[in-house]
Amino acid sequence: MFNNRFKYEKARRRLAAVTFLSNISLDGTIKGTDLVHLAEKSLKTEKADVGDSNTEHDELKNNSCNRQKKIQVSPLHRLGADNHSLSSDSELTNTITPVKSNINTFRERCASGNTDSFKDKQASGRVKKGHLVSVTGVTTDDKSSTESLNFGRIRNVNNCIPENHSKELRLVRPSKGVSFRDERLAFAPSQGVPCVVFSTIPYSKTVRNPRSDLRKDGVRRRNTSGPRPLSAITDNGVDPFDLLGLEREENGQDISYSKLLVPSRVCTREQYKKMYEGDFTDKSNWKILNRHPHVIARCFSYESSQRTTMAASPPHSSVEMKTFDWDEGTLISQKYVHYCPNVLDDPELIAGKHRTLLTFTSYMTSIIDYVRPQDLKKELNDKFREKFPHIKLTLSKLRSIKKEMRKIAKHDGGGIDLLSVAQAYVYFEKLILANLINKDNRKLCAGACLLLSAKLNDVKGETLKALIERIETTFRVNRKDLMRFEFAVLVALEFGLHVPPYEVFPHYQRLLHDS
Amino acid sequence: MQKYEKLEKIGEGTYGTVFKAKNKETHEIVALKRVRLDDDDEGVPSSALREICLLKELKHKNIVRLYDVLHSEKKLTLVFEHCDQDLKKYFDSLNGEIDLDVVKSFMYQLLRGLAFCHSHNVLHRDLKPQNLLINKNGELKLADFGLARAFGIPVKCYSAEVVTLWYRPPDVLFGAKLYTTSIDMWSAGCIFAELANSGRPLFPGSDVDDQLKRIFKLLGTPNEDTWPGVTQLPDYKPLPVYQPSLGLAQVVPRLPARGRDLLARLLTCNPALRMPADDAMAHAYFHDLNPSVKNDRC
Repeated sequence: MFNNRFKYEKARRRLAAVTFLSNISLDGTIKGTDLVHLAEKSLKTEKADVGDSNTEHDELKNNSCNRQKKIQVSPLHRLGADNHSLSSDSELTNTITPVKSNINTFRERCASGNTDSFKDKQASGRVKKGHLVSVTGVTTDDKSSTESLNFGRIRNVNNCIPENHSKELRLVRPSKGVSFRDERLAFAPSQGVPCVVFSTIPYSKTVRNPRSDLRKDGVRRRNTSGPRPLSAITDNGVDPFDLLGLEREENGQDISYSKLLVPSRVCTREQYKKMYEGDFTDKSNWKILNRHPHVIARCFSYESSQRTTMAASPPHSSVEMKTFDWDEGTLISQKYVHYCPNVLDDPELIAGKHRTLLTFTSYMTSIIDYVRPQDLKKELNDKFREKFPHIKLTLSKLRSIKKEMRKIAKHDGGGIDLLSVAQAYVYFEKLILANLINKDNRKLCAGACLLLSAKLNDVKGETLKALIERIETTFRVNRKDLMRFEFAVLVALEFGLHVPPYEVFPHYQRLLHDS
Repeated sequence: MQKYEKLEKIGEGTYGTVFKAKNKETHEIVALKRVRLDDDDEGVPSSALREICLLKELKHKNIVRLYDVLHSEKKLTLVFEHCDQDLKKYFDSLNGEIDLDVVKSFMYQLLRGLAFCHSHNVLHRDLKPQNLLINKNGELKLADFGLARAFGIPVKCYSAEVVTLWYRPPDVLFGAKLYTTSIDMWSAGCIFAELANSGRPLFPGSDVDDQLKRIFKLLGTPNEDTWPGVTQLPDYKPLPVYQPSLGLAQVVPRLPARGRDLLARLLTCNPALRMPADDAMAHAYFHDLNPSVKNDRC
């Protein structure tokens, strides 16, 4: 069975490779019938595109001339002069190499995708700048803001695979001292088809694939959390307000936050629904949030005393008796009203589906199979993502950040109390639920939450200084950014740092329980 | 700062300068508190943070209103409701003795503002005449929430360095790190006596020891019987045993018997027995309060 399949695959690949190679004539053009059609077609579309965005191309040219030189140095042959100049104009990536080599089909797919995305990006000058910068690899500081400007928007270009257009073929005999750079290589026996095709891409820690933001939506990338350079996102470029999607002051003008000074009152379910009726596309997620308190009450189990607190405290039960006077103006600022402490980091979400529940007449028992920690983690993360598809953070990441926050707080000789940590968790989770946390800002935001919470809990003087230092070292952020994020987070939370005890208490109790 | 025209400097607050200013559009007079933001420092000063976040939730007739927060690169400006004077200046402006109806009205409004704070889980922690604002209509408002904090989940980490010495309760003087609304009620009691005496402070101590002695001379030195647990407080020290010799009648001669009763319930050394704000509002002393003050709901 396996063998057959293997043979079939092999034959298929062989056929594909042979067709590909035999379609390349000596002058470098492609002969394949349908391929030629595609090539012509793509040329036409591209010409139209060029007409559309001439000005942009001019700008791009200036920025990309370095890059073009590079491209033009290496190729020995080119696949048609027209085609190439077009591609180097509009295609600025240098990274991913196609497995198939039909450049023209790729061109067509990419061209349509990219012009879209370019038009998108043209709308906001900053984005374009960020993009170019990262391509040329001169500086990398603007990337995070690029991402933040884009977040929340649904992109429809995520199928586009970036393309490289150095398309010469040269034969290299095995010898010493041959080095390859920015090239695509194929290993082939002296007679026969290539058996390995690969590319060499210059490795750089900071220069990320400029298209990675496009891919992000389609294919999930693993979020590594290891130490990263202190200056990875900041130094001068990042604007915490942009990163959190907030308005910010311009030309030194004061910005007024009077609209945020509306008391955060608890609202009824109807009003809550009404609130998210127009402006929230992912209403289904909010429905989950809405429904969840009941679920929590049920699954809260590790301490019986807690069940009573939960039953007494959830917003729903107490709220509906009250009536409030509502005007439309106040509705908007009620974003954070329905926060439930266990909704995001569900304490019950520790075991996967590898559990068999046996119900007997007099007792119930569950059998929990052994599961590899990695599998469990993946499963929990999947469950979490299913529940909160819009959140750009995995459950394991959330938990590890919370653990780090806890670690920062706990310190021999002058740590801060667990209540501050619990309150910081509330702030941080509210930011996550509001969809404001992403890979680039999560540590700064977590640090800012901790700082804000500590300040409101009588942490001052030397203790506060030490805390700031520990945040800096643990999260590897610099103070300046932390301070800028502090205010941004404060605004993002709509000054709502005075949270009711029932929001903080479950976190506090879990912290006490775990210590 | 285009929206407001600065008129005069009112004072220097704990974390910045306070200006009187006029809204150019509405001609409304406001108070501006300017806070400097320094990136390399510790960020937003905690006092400003407290004022913003707590006053956001406290919209009440007897609590100063925070209208706006203005942010620019290097500074933060808090825009407050402006009142003509504070209680301290009011005392200074008195020629002779205060009207006892005014005492009652101010005291009631103070308690009402406090009750509102406490019902919203906020401790003021710095009540004193300078922080009580009075406007032309005889309305009293609590101001300066720079030391205020939330309470609700009891933890032994509250700061003991709170409340101006003269208005600080004995438990906090003994270093208590867990306190509740009672901390404000003691200050309210001190202010009540000061009102009744037309602005003469009740316990003008010079340091913690002097402060405690002045308190205990009037109220008697507490012991484990009158205040269980007092000796366990962090900074407890045995002090000379005074008997409650001086009657309140001598201390606040102008206050009627009911008023003295209320004062005695507020100035109770054991915080657990100190009267809370809403109970105080229902005290018999206020039965003959001018209905216009009483019904004047927010």
